[in-house]
Amino acid sequence: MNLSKSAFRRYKVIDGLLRNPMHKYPNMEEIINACLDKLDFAPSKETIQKDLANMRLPYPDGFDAPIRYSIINKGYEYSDSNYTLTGIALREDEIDTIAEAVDLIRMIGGSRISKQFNHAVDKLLSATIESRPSDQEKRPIVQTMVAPVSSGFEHFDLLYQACKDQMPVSIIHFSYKKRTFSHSILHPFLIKEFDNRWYIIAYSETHKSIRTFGLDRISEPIMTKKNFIKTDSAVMKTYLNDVYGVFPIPDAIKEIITIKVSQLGTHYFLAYPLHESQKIVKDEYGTSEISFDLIPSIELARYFLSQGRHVRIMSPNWFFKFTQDLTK
Amino acid sequence: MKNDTYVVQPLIKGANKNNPCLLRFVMNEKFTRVDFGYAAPWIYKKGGWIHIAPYSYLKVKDSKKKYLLLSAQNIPISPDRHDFETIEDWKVFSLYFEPLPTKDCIVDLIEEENPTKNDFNYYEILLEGVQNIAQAE
Repeated sequence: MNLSKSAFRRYKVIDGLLRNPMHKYPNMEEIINACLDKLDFAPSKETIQKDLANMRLPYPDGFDAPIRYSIINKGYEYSDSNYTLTGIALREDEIDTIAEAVDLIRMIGGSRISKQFNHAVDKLLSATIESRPSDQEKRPIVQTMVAPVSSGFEHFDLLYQACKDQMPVSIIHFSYKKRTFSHSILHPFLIKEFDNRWYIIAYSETHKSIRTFGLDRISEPIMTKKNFIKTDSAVMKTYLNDVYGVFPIPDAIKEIITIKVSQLGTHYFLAYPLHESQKIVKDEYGTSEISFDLIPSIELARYFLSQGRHVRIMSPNWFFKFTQDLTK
Repeated sequence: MKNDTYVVQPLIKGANKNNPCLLRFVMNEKFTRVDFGYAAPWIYKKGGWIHIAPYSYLKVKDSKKKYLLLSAQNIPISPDRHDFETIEDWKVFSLYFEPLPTKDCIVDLIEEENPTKNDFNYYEILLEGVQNIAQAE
């Protein structure tokens, strides 16, 4: 169906009028006025007649719309009251709910939402929502910490597709520390965000193990047709649930990590648990011992360090030493 | 190589230069693309500068035919140049050459026929016996 955007917008106005139970049987003049009201343009009588005819055409040339003219009521109606142009009959309040949810996603997601998602949302909105206040008229109600678009985020869509379709990816990687470049074939399974930074977790052919790569250090990814090496689902689950951050300490296993926390620190751990495995045992003074069932990670060590005197690692001892070494 | 694009991790018989580091060949019927990484060296003030000579070419071993540079991405063609701002800067760039006739060959990449240590010359780059990976559509 070759359909112009302006014609489809008129069809939606007509569809809305024909489905309005409060004002049935719109006539030609009312349809033209509604177009003027909603589209800021008054189409001619001939245009609307042509639109009605086109809407009646069977799919795929038209929309199979059962439009008929009621001589008694002197207006148009759908002979099938369940018919709707877009195939989904949404009430005004349902449309509002969807639009609010999309607004919320945009507020929370901000720049982190991929172009593809934005495109899909725009398509949905243009297909279902006729008139919404413009962004300028809207007052922000929620503000989240949204970082500006980071370097490497442009690869998000390709890497997402590679994870979804299980396609290996050829990448060029730069190591900030070593200042060296490498080419690797990755078999990715998870894109993870941590502290506003994006990472891809994948089996790396070069390293022959599962590795984490910052998107900011990846250049020129190319999706390949090579056979995909699947990562064991238990390992995937571990990366999803048992790691705070993105870089588990090499060879570390999931274990109980215990910290001693000050009175002030305890309030914050109570209010903002670090991980779902967090367990707090408070003493009578309000200080606490907090445990986590996690694979020790570099980010966890850095977090504890950032708490200064409010947090002291009790066990395991090796993790305490590892954390201390980070300060040297 | 009918309509396919191949991604090849080359092997270099001699030692691969660290800077620029030759990383990948992307080959099809229209072009041969060579990807490099370059980390601004500490020996130059603010990392120095880079560019590529317009007469750079690829040459298959035992053949005189030159596969000329078509275009460059992310690196200027001389006399233009890219000046780094710091000794920590880095860059990934690509050179597009006329298409090589086959993906199984040994090639030289020549920027200067009488090179200095600063020129981007690479010899005996093995594109054979390595795993070739067709690019997805």
